[in-house]
Amino acid sequence: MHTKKLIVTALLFSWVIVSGCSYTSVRQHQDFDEYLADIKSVVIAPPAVTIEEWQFSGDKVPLLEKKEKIRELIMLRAKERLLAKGFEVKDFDFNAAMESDPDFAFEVNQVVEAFNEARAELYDGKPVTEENKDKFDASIGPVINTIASRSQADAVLLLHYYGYEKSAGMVAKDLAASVLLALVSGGTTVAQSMSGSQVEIAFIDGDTGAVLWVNTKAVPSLTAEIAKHTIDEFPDTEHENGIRVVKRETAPKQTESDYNY
Amino acid sequence: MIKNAMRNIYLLSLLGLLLSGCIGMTESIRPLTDNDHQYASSDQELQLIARAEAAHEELLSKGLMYRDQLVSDYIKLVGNSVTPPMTDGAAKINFYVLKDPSVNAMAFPNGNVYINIGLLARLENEAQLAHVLSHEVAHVVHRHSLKTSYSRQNTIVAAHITDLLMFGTSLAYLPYISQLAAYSQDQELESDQFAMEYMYRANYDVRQAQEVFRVIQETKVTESVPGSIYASHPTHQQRVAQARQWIAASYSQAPADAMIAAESYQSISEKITHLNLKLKLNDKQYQLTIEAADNALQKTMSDPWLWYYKGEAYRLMAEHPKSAAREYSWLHGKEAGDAGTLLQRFTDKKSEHLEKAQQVFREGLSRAGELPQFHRGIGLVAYAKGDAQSAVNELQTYLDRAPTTKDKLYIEHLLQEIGEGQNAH
Repeated sequence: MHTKKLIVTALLFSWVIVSGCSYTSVRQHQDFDEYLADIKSVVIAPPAVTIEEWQFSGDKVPLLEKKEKIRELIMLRAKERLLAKGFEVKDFDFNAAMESDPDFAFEVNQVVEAFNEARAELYDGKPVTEENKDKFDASIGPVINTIASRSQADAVLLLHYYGYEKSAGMVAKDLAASVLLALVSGGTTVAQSMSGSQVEIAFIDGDTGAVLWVNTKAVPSLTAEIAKHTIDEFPDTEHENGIRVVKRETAPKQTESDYNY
Repeated sequence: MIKNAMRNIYLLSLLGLLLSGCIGMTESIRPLTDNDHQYASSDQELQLIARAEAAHEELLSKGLMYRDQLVSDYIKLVGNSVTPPMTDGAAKINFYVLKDPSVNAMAFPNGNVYINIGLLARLENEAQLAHVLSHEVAHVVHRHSLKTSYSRQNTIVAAHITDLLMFGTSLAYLPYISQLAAYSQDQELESDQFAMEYMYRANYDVRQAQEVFRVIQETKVTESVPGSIYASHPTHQQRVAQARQWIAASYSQAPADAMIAAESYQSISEKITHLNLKLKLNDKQYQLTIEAADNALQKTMSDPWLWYYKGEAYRLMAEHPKSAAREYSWLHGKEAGDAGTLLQRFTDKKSEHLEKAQQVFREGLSRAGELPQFHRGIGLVAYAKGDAQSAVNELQTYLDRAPTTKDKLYIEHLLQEIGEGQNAH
C-alpha cells in the first residue's frame, strides 16, 4: 500500500515536470504594456536592506558594514540593468532630501508601507504560472506621487533585500544536528547553508501607483548579484514609432536554481 | 535501552542545572533606582543599548518622529513628573511621539520611551497618559529588556540542546516560545503595578489606570488577538481586574486633589486628531477611522477635515474590499466569519459604501464649509460609479482650488484617462 502511494506521488511529480507547467515569481500588471509606453525615466528609491548574523543564542545581530556595502552594490546593479533596459535613471539624492525634510522621509516610508500592503495581494501563497503572471492590478495609490514629482521620474523602483550569515556556533549546531540525523537514519549528512539572501524588486508607476512589475528571488549566499538576476527578468523593450513596447519572448525562463517562492 | 534512558536523564538534568543558573542571573539585575544597578556594565546590556540607539536612528531617518513642539513638551512634562529619581550612571529617560496609528507605546533599554499618535488619540485625560508613560518607564527602570534578553537566550540555548537531542526536528522550539510569552506577561503586570506607584507619587488619580484598559481596547473581541501587538500581553480584563485589586489594597485613600486633568489633555488631543485619522487611512483602518472621526464630530461639526476623512474611509472601503474585510476580521475575531464570506460581503456593499462616502462629503461641504478635498472625494466616487462628467467636473475643481496638491499627478492621470474614454465613445 505504502509503495503504491509512493509510485502515484512520483508519477504525479513526473507529470508536472513533463507537462512543462512552470511557475514564476514575477507578477505583472494587466495593463503593463499601456503604462510602459509612457515611462521614460525611473528613480531608485532608497533600498530597505537588512543583514543579520544568526547567532547560537537566538540573537540576530545586524551587520551594519555589510549592509552599507550591499546597499550600494544593489543600487549599482539595479541602475546598470535599468540603463541596459533603455530607461533613463534619475540621480536623486534621497538622503539629502530626507534629512532636510522629515515629512518627505515619512512619505518615502509610507510608500514602502503601502507596497507591503499590496504585496499581500500579489503573493497570497498561491503559485502563479507563466501564463497567468500578467493578470494583476495592484496599486499603492497616489502616495507615490511625492517621490515621482520631486525626482521628476515617471516610475519608481523599490528594492527590498534581506541577507543573513550564520555564526560559527549556529553552523556547528546545524552540522551536529545533520550528523545525528544521518547516524539515526543511516543516510548522509545534508549540506547546511552558511548564509542566504532574498531580494524583492518592484517597478511602480509614478502617476497612479500601479504596481507594474514585481519579482523576488532567494539564493543560499550573501550576494548583491541577486538584484541583477532579479531585474534581468524585467521584459526587454524597444521603441516603435517613438513609443516603448515590450520585446516579446525575451525574458529568460526561471530555473530550478533560482529558489523562488 | 536503560543505558539510553539514563543518558537522556543525565542530559536533561544538566539542562535543568544550566537553566536554574540562568534564572539566578536575571534575579540579580537591580532596578535603576538602586545604587548598585551596574547599568551598561555587561556586554549583553551594552549590545541592547547599541541596538536601541540604532533603532532610534532608523525611526528618525524614516521620519516617524512627530515634531510638534507643544505636544512634545507636554509629553516630556508628564513623563518626567512620573519618572522616579534614578541613581548615578542610570539611563536617561527620553520621551518621543511616533507617527503611528496603532494603539501602542514602547520602551527601549537605552531609556527611550515612545508613544504612538494612535494611543494618544484614544486617551481621555492626563492621568491616563501618566499611567501609560509610567508603565513604559517601569520597563526601563526594572530593566525588562535585559531580563528578557537573558531569559530568551537561556530559553533558546535550551531549545537548541533539545533540538539536537531530537535530531534537528525543531519541534522542541514550540514550548519555549509559549514560555517566552508567559514571561512577558509577568513583566507587563509588574510594570502595571509600578506604574500605579509612580502615578500616585506624582499626584495623579490612580483610579484612571483601570480606565486606560477600557479606552485602549480597539478590537471588539475580549481575548488577545493572535498576531496583534497585544498578543503577548495579558488580556485587558485581566489587567483591569488586577488594577482594581491593587487600588483596593494600596490606593483606596487616594488624595482628593489627585489630578485627572482632562481639559489640558483635550487641547493636546485635538492637535493630533487629523494626523491620527490620516495615518489610520494610510494603514487601511477604515472602520477605526470612521469611529475616531465620529467621536471627534461629536465635539465639533465645523471641522471639514473630520468629514473628509470619514468620507474617505467609506470610499476606500468600497475601493479595497479585501483590506476592509481584513480589518473587520481583526476587529471582530472568530465571530467575523471566514475570509471568503467577509470579502464577498464587502464586495457586495461597494455601492452602499460609495453612496455613504458621497453623502458624508456633501454633508461636510454644507455643515463645515469649503475644502478642496471634498471635490476630490466626490469626483473619485463619481469615477467609481462610472459618472464620467461629474468626475471630471469635481476633480478639475479640486485641482483648480488646490493647484499644488501632492496627488496632482494621480488626479491629472485620471482626468486624462476619463477624457480618452469619453473621446473613444
